[in-house]
Amino acid sequence: MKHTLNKFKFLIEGKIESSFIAEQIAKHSSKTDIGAHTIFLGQVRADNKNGKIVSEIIYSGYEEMVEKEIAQIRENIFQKYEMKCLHIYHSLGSVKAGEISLFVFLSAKHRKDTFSVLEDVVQQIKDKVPIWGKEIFEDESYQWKENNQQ
Amino acid sequence: MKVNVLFFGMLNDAVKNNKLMIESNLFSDTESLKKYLTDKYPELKRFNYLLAVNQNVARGNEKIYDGDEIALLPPFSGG
Repeated sequence: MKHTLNKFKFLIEGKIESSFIAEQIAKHSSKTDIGAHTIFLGQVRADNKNGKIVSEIIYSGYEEMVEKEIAQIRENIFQKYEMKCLHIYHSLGSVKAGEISLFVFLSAKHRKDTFSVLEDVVQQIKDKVPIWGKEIFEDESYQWKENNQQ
Repeated sequence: MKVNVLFFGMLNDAVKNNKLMIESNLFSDTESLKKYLTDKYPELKRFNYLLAVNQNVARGNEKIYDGDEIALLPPFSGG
């Protein structure tokens, strides 16, 4: 069973297991005021960069600041929108191509607006959370990942 | 004053270190610290980065105090 890293609430060591995602869904079935969940999963893609294929990403982060920024994003979202729950988990360390490195779980009474709120959350994570990815290629060379604005 | 300086992402490749404890009176704010660091590590000039003081991104020039933790943050690539 995957646990969050030590005292950090939002950081997971290594990949996010699909069983962890299933557990979170199951945990919410007692919250019967919720009618809609929207979930985003970020998966490491075997990108082709100039003929080299990404085989894994090694994530590093400014851990205390990650916690602060994610807490702030949650607060921003709850203040701005009527959401019931928002859970955010990001991997640190090695995540191989095909594995999950980001899990965002948003719950509301109704589905109205949850899709655009989820998009807002994911964009804020990419913009504000001090995490970096080192793309490791199949030949063991590497480069630092660059996020696109999208 | 004594501050801890943290280098993240590609910056810790460039500086070959991820954490330095710096004691000097050659800086008192983020601009003068940045100058002090780029004089010491000219490789830093190649990179774009923000400074965070005690985990808050510095907007403009900010005063630094003894015991502060300064982080050099290249563009994020999480998510």
